[in-house]
Amino acid sequence: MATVAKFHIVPANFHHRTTQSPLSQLGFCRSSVSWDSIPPFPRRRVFVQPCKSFRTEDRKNGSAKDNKSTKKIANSDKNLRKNLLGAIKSFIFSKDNSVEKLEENLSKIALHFGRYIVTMMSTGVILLIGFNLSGGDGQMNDLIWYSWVGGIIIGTMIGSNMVLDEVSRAGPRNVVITGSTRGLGKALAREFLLSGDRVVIASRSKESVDMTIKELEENLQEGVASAASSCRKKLANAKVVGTSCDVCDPNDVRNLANFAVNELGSIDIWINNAGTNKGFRPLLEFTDQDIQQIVSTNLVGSILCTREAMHVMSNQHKAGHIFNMDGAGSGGSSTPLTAVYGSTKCGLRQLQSSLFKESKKSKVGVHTASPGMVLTDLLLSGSTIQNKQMFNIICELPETVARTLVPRMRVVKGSGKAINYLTPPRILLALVTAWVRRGRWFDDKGRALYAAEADRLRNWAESRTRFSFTDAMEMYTENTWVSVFSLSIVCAFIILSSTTGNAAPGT
Amino acid sequence: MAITATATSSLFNFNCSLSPPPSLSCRPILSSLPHHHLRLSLARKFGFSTTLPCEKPFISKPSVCSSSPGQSQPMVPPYNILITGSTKGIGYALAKEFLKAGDNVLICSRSAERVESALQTLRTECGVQHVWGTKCDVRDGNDVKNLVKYAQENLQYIDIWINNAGSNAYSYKPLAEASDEDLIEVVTTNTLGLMICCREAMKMMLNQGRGGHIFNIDGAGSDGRPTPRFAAYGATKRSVVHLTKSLQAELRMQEVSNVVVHNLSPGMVTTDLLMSGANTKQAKFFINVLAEPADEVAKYLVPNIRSIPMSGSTRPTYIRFLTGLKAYSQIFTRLAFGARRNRYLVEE
Repeated sequence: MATVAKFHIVPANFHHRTTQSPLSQLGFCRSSVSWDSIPPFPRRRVFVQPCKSFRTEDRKNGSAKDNKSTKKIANSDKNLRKNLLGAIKSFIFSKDNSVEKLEENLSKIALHFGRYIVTMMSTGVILLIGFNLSGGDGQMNDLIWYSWVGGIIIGTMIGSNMVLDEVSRAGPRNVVITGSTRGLGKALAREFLLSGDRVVIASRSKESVDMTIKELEENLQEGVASAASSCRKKLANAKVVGTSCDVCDPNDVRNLANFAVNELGSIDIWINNAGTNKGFRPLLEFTDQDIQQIVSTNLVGSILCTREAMHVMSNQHKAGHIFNMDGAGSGGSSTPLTAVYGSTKCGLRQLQSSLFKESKKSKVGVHTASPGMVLTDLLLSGSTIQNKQMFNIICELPETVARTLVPRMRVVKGSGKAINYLTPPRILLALVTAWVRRGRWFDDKGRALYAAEADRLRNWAESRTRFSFTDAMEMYTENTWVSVFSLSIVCAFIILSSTTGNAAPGT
Repeated sequence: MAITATATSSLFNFNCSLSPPPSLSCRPILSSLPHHHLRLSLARKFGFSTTLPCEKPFISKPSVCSSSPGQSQPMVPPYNILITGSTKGIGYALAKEFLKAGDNVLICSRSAERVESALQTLRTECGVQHVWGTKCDVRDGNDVKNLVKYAQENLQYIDIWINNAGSNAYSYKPLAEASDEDLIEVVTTNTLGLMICCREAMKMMLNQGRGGHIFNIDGAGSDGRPTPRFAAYGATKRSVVHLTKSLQAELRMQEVSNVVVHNLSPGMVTTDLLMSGANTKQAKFFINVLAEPADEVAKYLVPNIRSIPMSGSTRPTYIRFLTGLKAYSQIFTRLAFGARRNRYLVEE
């Protein structure tokens, strides 16, 4: 009966918001929407800027790789600027502000141009290698040119698709994160918040929820204070609310969903982050309560939350995405000493694949997010010195992981995606630099060397903008690799054919 | 059409082993596990498992472990057998078959009445002195502890412990439509209950000189194939196989060789649990083609289970009733010759 009652509530909540949804998809008219949750803006001229910042920001992320899309962007930037100039005139902007905007745009164009050059250079290197290998064979040279052009075209299509997609889907997301008062959940909440999203946090204890809200609001204030003007507008929509929720209790979960709908209107992203482990030891040493808590938090909690999120999302206009957090054991390899945790996480993977089939035709996407190894209580409780030496190599701070996961979570589409932190390039990097990383988090005695959370965050604001090699490799090069990859295949083909070709006359 | 496809594949899953993954194929589970997975898991999963090789010093041998008398007390028939959830379905059939083979059997179930009535029928068939029974809810740690106490009082020791209790709440529907009670029942019975039973069984068997064998019954989804319409059940059964694997690795780390954890796959059995989902065309097709009555399955499984202690083997195994070859050949004969049509259920 409870579910029936809820069905009535949920659409009712959306009806008075329906006007907003088509408008926001246009992307440019966001300013005309009156969100209940947004504090009134002090001055009128603010209204134009958010749209611009969304668009330009997203284009920056979009990372178009090649001539065509760069041109496209240059064109649309021109159009945009024209529109903006009109808007500026009508709103009587002060002159210096518009110049500032112009500069921003120019720097973005320069950025794209730089990326274009880098891409061309990387493909050019492969191209040259290919020509060298082919040794002036006309047919081979043709092949190389064709594959290069093919790669460029495919890259263009993917790139422009991404750009268009991101522009149309710009705007703040409504996010629910369970178990988000510490560890990775908190870092994710902070990262979403600093991306300008509205976040609902939840945890078993009311006090820690309140404390976390206060802390995150402070982070947000600092973020607003230190951010550039365009980011500041983006952050204007950000807010954080929270409620206590024990994920094993169906009523609590239902309350959380209702709370989120009441506060935010709809839910775009629901992250089942709540999980517990209770230390590393053989199953024999786990008490009944331990086992019960692990099973009910990890498995029952995730199942109940997923179901509730599916209810809410299938009743709203916008599509929604549910993320379940992977952990050790998800892949099916054995997890001695964390047998209970491992098998619940393995079960979750099965749940995910079943749900993917069940929800194929609905607009609800079910995904997994895998944070890899994160330096949180879950991992560190009961770990030995040897473990910690291992952690030095492969572990990351929750903030680092969140910074990588959140942008991907925000733009996820479809269903059944896996968002991983520990991707092959990262693992490769970790293994290659293992020697350097020896004393990264823990010293020989297993004492922690990394700063406490508060200090970390202070440094964090500065390093947010710092260039990260792996991040760049991940975010930017996805399309570049298409053309590089196709060229490499051709090169390999040439190498193979030339060796066999040489061998044949020899024998 | 998508629904038909999913139903097909999901029902297929009941046999759990159409293409057995290499790491599970009976023999080398233990020997291959940790190192085999080391690099892979480094690459993709998170390193709890990868830390293991260097964790060895941390693991203390269980104080209760007494392996030396194990050799002096070889397991000889008749065996003492404990089966959870054994008042109906496959559990009951297994109990009957073990009794026929001359073993002593302890049955248990959530409901005291069902235990009583099952005891009466079994006693009339197989004699009073061979069968015992008590009420036990596997989800309750104290109940399971009492079960162990009851077993020690009446049978002194248990050679084979079969974790059979499982539930799917007898409902097949999308997760979004499942009720709170059903979901919680499925997960707590299949996962929590199993874990508590495994722990108590291991505790008990480490204390008895002869050691013992624990069998966990798998189900649809344990091979990783999606199980739409019973997502929660599939998730729990997948976790069963994973738990078995982890426990095998744990026991190996503790250098315990006389307590062994096995998987047992009965395939598709025409019990209430399966038949409650027989409401689609595809479900009916696969039930007719692949399912067997519980007695048939038990007749195959029991000699296989008994052969393990008889041979003195301490290698973990994965006994399957419905193997991939068998399943494919049955599907082939059905499609080619129309065999087994309308066997249990009338197909349209």
